[in-house]
Amino acid sequence: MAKLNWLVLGTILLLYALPPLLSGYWERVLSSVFMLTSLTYAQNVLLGYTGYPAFGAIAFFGLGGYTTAVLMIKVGIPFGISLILGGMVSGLVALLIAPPLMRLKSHYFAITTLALQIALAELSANIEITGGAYGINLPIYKGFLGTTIFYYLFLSVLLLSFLTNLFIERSKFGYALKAIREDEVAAESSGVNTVLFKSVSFGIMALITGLVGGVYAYWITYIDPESMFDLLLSVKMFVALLFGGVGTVAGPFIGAFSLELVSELVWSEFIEFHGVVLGAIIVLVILLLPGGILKSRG
Amino acid sequence: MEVLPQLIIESLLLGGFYSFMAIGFSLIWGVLGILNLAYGSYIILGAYLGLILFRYAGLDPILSIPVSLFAGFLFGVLVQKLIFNRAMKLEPFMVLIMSFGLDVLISNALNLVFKADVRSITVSYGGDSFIVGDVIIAKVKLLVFVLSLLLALLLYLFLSRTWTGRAIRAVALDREGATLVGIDPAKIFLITAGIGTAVSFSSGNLYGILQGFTPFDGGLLTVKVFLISILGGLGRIESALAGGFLLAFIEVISSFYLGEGWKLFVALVVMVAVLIFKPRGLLGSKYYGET
Repeated sequence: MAKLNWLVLGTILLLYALPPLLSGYWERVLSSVFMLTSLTYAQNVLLGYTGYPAFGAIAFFGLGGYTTAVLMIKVGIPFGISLILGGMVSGLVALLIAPPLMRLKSHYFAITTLALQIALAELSANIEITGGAYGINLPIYKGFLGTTIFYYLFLSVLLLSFLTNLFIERSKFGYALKAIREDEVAAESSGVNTVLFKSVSFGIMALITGLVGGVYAYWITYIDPESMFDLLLSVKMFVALLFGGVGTVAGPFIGAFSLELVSELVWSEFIEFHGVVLGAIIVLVILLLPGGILKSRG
Repeated sequence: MEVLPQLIIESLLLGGFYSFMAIGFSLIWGVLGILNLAYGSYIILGAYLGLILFRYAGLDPILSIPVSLFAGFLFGVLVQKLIFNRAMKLEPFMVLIMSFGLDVLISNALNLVFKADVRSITVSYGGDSFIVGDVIIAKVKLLVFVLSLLLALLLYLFLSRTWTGRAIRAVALDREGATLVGIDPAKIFLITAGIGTAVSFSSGNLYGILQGFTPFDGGLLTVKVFLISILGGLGRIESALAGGFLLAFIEVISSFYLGEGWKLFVALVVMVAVLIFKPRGLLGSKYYGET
């Protein structure tokens, strides 16, 4: 298992050297692969290690993306700082709402986060500062490295999210999270401050997810409620996680890479059937994974 | 002109339909413990079925309700047998994800067949309305309201008066206990899935006369039945009625006073509050075994 983790780390570092060899197409494909992988890692912190499925986690993708865009366009803050602030806003909002929200368990928690996601989408479609249903146009990036910068940004968020997972796997903090996952009452009674730890876990998930949203917003240069709060992205993330192995460090990487590469390469050939195939894959992954989530537990 | 009476009438008319639409979802959730995110797409499937019968068989959507009830029942039993029966052993959350996959599958398949154009079932009496004092009542809405409540009443009688209906409630209440008195839960699951899906298909008929639809409208409908089930509480017909009327009221009032775009947001905020402070819904009691 540990060997596999170092292999993943090595691969990520190697990917930093790749851009000179890549065509524009492959750069884009890999960027979207990194994006899904980072989101999957973020979710692994929460579902994999803490046992809470945030079905509407993309709420924080949208929150981070919109915060970044609004700070850049309406306030005039440079992208780099806006991006970090966007991630921090996501993380802080998550920390604040976690204590009441995480009293709910299993699919009640899942659907409440989904409600949060739809509510944020509705909110951003209705208020002025986010451009309403029309969304926000961002300038096209023309600086250092050109569009290749987004490849590096996504890859760096991926590296960050991977290291976070590695840290959680091996640290005391991670043990506390796993204790919550296995038995929250037992964890509480053996001295783990469960509310604090699970809130921090939720916050980390939201911080990374928000950062990914921020990079994505500047990458596609046009954001609207539909693209920033896309439920399909949530679901792809969960399928990648389930496919690769929940609660493992290498799993999200393997799951997200295979899912997104297959998605890009095979399905771009059959645009019309894309949705049908994706739906079928989701159903099949769940049905055919023996034990699913439970496999990595215990 | 006083506008409030009109708003109240609109809420009531819409609420009747919402209640009926949500009964199937709520029943499946309550009895089988499955949160079926494909439910909205089932409704849209029903709407397209109604459209086909209207176009090619000349059958009024009202008259084709028995057909869609039957087709829905078969479809529900089939999907339960092929897919959900296998998934019910998994964690509820996994089934949730899977049902979303089913939703993606159905809506995209509909899109392949019918394309994304807005379709509607245009009945000859579509434009008529009654005027009572200051209040305008569209004939179609009244018809849908009456039919919804009638079908809900029939379902209520079925659940409370027949042996099968009582068995369904028994399984929902206590799976082991029901097995002990000779009820086969597997059979009850199939029947419940069938009835729930029959409700969704037939409410698709009604939805089709009320407004236009596209293959991808299912998602929003799922959110609505979900809101209704949370607001009212799970499983019982009375809960669906309470939730349905409440949602309609929230929607009508907030779109009038805040603007059309805000209605879903307001409804979601109310729902999150209910979930956090009263997770069993406003009328929900510990009726179903699921926690």
